[in-house]
Amino acid sequence: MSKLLLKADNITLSYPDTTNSFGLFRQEAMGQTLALDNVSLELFEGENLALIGANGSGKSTLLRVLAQIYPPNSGRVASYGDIQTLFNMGIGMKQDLTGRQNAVLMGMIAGRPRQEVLEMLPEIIEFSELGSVFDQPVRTYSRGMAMRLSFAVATSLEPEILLIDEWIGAGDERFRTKAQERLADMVGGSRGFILASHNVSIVKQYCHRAIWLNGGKVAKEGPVEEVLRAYIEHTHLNKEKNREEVDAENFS
Amino acid sequence: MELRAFFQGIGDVPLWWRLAWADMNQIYRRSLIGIFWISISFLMFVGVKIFIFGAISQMDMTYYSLWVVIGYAVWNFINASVVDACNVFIGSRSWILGTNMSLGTFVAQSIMRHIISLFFVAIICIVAVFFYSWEQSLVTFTVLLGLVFLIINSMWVHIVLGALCARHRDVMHLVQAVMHVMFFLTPILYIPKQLGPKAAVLNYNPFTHYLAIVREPVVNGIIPQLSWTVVICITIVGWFAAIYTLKYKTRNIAFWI
Repeated sequence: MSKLLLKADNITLSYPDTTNSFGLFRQEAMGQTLALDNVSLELFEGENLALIGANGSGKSTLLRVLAQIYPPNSGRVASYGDIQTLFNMGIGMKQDLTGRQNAVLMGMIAGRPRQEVLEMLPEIIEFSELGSVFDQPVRTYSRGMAMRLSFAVATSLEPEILLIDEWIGAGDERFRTKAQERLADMVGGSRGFILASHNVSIVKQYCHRAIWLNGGKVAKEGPVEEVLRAYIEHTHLNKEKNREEVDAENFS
Repeated sequence: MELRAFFQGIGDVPLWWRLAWADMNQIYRRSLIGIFWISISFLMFVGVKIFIFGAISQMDMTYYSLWVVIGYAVWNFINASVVDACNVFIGSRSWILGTNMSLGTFVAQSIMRHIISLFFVAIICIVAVFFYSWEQSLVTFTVLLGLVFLIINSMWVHIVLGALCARHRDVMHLVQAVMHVMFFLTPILYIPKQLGPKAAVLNYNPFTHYLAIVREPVVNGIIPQLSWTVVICITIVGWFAAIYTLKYKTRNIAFWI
């Protein structure tokens, strides 16, 4: 049995109502929907786990709980290694700083001494393929370039655990191949990652095990093919159902 | 747990130092005079005030000028601290939601920005003291202790107002409105004795005392004991509020911003 990297037990979370301050003018309570309902997961060394599910199914919320950004209402998270996050693009970047300065900053935010980050820079430049643009302000970057930079830095930091949210879709084919190789390296070592996506082909390409979240609950967990089959079937059925409902309405 | 994480962030000096400088560079990016605009805009403001208010009052111009220069310098720091404190967590939204950075980092980053501004304003104050060759004694050194207290107070204000404003957005607008009023209720542009018997009211304004601990030693060569007592008491109460906030309230900040 390989070593446990990250463990979440019975996570339940509902977003607090923050519509306004003192409960004045509040609309009828929205029935306190649970964003996460009794979710548990484990990530072991050398694992690449996918979180699949439609938009709003709780994938991003769960990643933020795992990264210890959101405190859950109940349940607990335990991590046994450094966590790096690759969430929304541009997060953790200062637009007016150059790529180089941002890379150093990201390293320092991850808790590395500046000198250590400076030593990583040549490798980051090479992998991100930013070349001379590396010394231009990040605000001049395209989406793909900014993505290459954050990916290069986050993986060069060699965290034990990498949490990736809806993210790999951007970037050209060439970089995607490189990214995939690098993630494979990561798993080959004693590390692991969790990738959240609604994109079936990306999940299939990157991951071996998957968890399907539906309405904040774990709908299915297991080998990626099985989970994806169930997920596809479900979304397909929903489409059919919607079509039938529309037909029924048209009749009446 | 929350407390420890917070102070770890405060302890990571290289990180917040860099973030604060990045903020300053962003503000003065591509300008010729750059960060010295802080000194210039300060000089312009106090210059005009001294010209107008000096003309309508029968005071010793040297005394009045120093009073305004130092008072306004301290007020600048206090006002920026209080107003920016409201925004310290809301403004760092993408960092708080994207990384598990300590909240202490954002507080220290914000205060460092104000210290940098204060530095460029303090240059003008020091020049003014020498320019008027206003006599100083050893008492002047208590100014440094006054500045330390301003920073310690700025910290609890950031923690308490930062969390409160993230949850209750009305507080931010309230604070801004109140600070506008306080500018006139604090003896910055006038000297208390000009108000006659009404000057006693000023003692109930805490900002009066925060100004006094820095301004009195320089301008009047005294250590204001009442003001120090008030400042120390507020510091203690404020830090109790801050520790309560850190212990019980800040863990939910990610939901509020």
